[in-house]
Amino acid sequence: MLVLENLSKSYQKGAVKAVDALNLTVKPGEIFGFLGPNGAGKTTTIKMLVGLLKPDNGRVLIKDYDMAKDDLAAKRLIGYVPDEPNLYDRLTGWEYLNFIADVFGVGEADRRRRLEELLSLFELENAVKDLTQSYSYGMKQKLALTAALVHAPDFWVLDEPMTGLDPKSSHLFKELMRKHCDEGKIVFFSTHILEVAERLCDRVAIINGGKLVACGTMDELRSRGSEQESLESIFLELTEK
Amino acid sequence: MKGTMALLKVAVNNNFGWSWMRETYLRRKQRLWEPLLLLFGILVSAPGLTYVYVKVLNIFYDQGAVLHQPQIILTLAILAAQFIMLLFGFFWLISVFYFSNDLPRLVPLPLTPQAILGSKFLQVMMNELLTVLIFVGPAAAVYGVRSGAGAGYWIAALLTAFLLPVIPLAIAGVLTVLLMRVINVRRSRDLLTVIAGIIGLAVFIVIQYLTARMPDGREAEYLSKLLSTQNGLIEALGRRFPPSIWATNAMAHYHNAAGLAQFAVYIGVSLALLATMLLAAKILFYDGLLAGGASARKVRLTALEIKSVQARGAIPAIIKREWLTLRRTPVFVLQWLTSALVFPIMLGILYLTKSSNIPIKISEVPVHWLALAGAGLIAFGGTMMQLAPTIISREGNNFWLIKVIPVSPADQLRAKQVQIWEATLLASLPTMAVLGYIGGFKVEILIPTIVLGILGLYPLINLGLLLDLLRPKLHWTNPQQAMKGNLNVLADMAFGLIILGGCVFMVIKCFQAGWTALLVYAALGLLLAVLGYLLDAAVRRVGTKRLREIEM
Repeated sequence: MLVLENLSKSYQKGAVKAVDALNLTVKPGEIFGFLGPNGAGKTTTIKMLVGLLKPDNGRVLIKDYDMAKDDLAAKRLIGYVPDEPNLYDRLTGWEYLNFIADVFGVGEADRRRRLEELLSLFELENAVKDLTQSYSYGMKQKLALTAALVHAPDFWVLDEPMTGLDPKSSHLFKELMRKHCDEGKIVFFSTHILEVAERLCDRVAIINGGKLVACGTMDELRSRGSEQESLESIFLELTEK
Repeated sequence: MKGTMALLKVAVNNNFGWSWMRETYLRRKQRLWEPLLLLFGILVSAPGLTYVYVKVLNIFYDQGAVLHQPQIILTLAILAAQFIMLLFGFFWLISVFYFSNDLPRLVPLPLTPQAILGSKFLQVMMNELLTVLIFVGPAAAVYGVRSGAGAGYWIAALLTAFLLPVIPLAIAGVLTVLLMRVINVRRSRDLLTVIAGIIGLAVFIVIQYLTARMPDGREAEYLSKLLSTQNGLIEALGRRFPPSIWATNAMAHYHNAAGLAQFAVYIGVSLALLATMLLAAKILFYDGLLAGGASARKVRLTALEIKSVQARGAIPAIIKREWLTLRRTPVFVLQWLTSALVFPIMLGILYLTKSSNIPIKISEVPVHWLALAGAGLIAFGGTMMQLAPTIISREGNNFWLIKVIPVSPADQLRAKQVQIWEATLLASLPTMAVLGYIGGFKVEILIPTIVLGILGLYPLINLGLLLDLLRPKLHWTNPQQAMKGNLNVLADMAFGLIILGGCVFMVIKCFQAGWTALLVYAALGLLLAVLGYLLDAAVRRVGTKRLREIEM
C-alpha cells in the first residue's frame, strides 16, 4: 500500500501552494497514473513521495513505513526515476548501475541476473561501458529506468518515464509495468500522454493547482459525464474549470 | 541587426548575472552575505598584492628612466596582459565558441554565425578587461603619477586599455575557428582543459623560477641588466608583438602626432583583426560547430564483465564514486593536482636556485621553526585543494541521488570525509617529500612536520565541509562553477587563514614565554585536535540535518 495523507507543500514562504492537502491511496497490484497540467504539482508530489522534498504537512506511507520517520526502510522499497535523468556523467553506465546496486545492497548473483535482463531489454549492452555524458536523452532515460529497477523494488515511482523512450522500449517497459503489478506490486507514475494512462492504468488521479480534482478507474471517471468520453475530454474538462 | 543587438544584450546580462543579482540581492534581499564576503576577500587580498606589484613597477620605472624609457613599465604590463589573454583566451574561446550550453538554443534562431560568435567574443572580452585592470591598471597609474601626465594621458590610457583584449583575443579567435574546422576538438574537450591546466602550471613554474633567480637586495641591478641586455629584453619582446608598443606609445605620447598615429594604427589593426575573425566565423564557424559531439565507443559489455561483477558496501561504493568523479572531471583533478604540486615546486625552486643568496641558511634555522613552517604548508596545501568546501556543491544536479538512496546522511558524510582525507593525504606527499629533503630527512623535523600538518588538516577539512553543508552551490552548468565560482571556497580560505594565523600567533607567544619546542608542539597539536574534533562534531550534527533539509 502507498498512502499520501493530507500532503501539502508550498514555496516562497507559503506564497505558492504547490500541493494542497492531497490524499491518495494506491493498492497493491495497481498501476496508478498521476495526471495534471504543467505546474499542477505532480513532480512536487512525487518528490515528497520519494523523500526528495519534505512536506509542510501530512505524511507519506510506503508499505507501513512513514517516509519522515523510517526513511531508509521506505527508500529501500522504492525505485525512482526523476523527471530529468541527471546521472553521474563522469561514470560509465556500468559503473553507475553497480554503484546503485551497491547502495541498495543488491547481491552479486541477483545483480548479474537483473542487469543482464534489463540491459538486454533496453538494448544498452553496447553503450553501458561509455561515460553517461555521451548518452542521448533517451539512453539516459533507459539507464535511469534500469538503475531504478536493479534492486527489484516493490514500488516503482516514475516521473514521466516514457519521455525519450523509443517505441520499442516504451512498449516493452509498459509490459514490464503490467507484469510488476500482476505480482501484487505498485507502479505510480506521472505522464502527459493521456492515451498511455487510459490504456495502461488501473486508476488515475488528476491534480490541478495542487489539489486533487478526480481519482478513480476510467469507468468511475466516465460516470461523471458521458459513457463515451475519453480521458482527454475528462482531463480538459476538469483542469480548465 | 536587431537580433544581434538583443543577443549582445542578453550575453552581457547573462555574463554578469545582472538579472539574477537584481532578483536575489535587491528584490528578494537574499544571500546578501555573498557580495559582502566577496568585498571582504578583495579588501583582504588586493592591497597586499597591489603593494608588491606597484613596488616592482616603481623599480622598473626607475631603471627605465635611467635608460630614458620610463614607459617600459607600460610595455611590460601590456605585454604580460596580452600574453595571458592570448594564451588562456585561446582555450577560453574554444570553450565558449563551441561548448557553451546555450549554443543548441542559439543556432536554430535566425541569427548569423558572426552575431553568435561576436556575442561570445564580447563575453570573453568583458571578462578579460579584469586582466587588463589587474596588470595594466597599476602600471598606467604609476606611469601617470610619476611622469606627471595630464588629463589627455588618462583619457588615452582608458581608451587604449579598453581595447587591449581585442587584438590577442581576435588572433586567438581566428586560430580557434580555423582549428575547429580542421580537427574535431569537440571530442577532446577534457583533453583541452588538461592542456590549459598544464600550461598554467608551466607558466607558474617559469615565473617562480625567474622570481627566484632575482637576487635579494639587488633587484634593481638585476632588472637594469634585464632591460639593457640585447637593447632591452622587454623592448625586444615588444618588437615581436608590436601591438604592445603601439599601445604604449598611444598612451605615453598621447600629446604628439607620432603618438596619435600609433593610436590610429592600434585601433585600425584591432578593428581589422576583429573583422577577420568575424569573416572566418561567417565562413567556418558552423562547419566546426556542427562537426559532431562526443561519440560513444560502442564497446559491448562482455559476459566475463557481467560475471566478474563485485558487490561492495554502501560506504566503499560512495568512496569509489567520489574518486571516479574527482579523477575524471578535469577541473576538479587539475585543482587537486596543481595544489599538490605548487608548494613542492615553489619550495624546490627556492631551495635549489637561491640557496646561496638567501640571507639565512636552512641549516641555521632552528629545527622547530622548520617543522612548524612545514606543518603549516601541509595544512594550507589541503585548503588549496578546495575539495572540502565543495563536497556537496560538486554533486550539482546529481544531488537528488543523495536524497533517494537508502544510506543514512551520516554514512554518506562519512564516506565523503574518508575520500577527502585519502585525496588530501595523497596530495600532501610531494610537499612532505620536498620538506623532508630540505630538512635532510631528520626525524626531529619530519615527524612533527607530518603529525602537526595532519592535525592542521583536521580542523581545516572539517571547516570546509561545514561551510559547504551550510550553503552548497548546487545549481551549475559547468563543474568550473562548482569550484572556481563557489564563494564557499573563498570563505574557507579566509577562515582557514584566520585559524592558521591564530596558530602562528599562539606559537610565537609560547616561544616568547620560554616554552620548549616539544611543549609547543604538544600545545599546538592539542589545540588543532580539539578544534578539529569540535568542527567534526559540528559537521556530523549539522551535516546530517542539512542533508535532510536541502531541497532542489
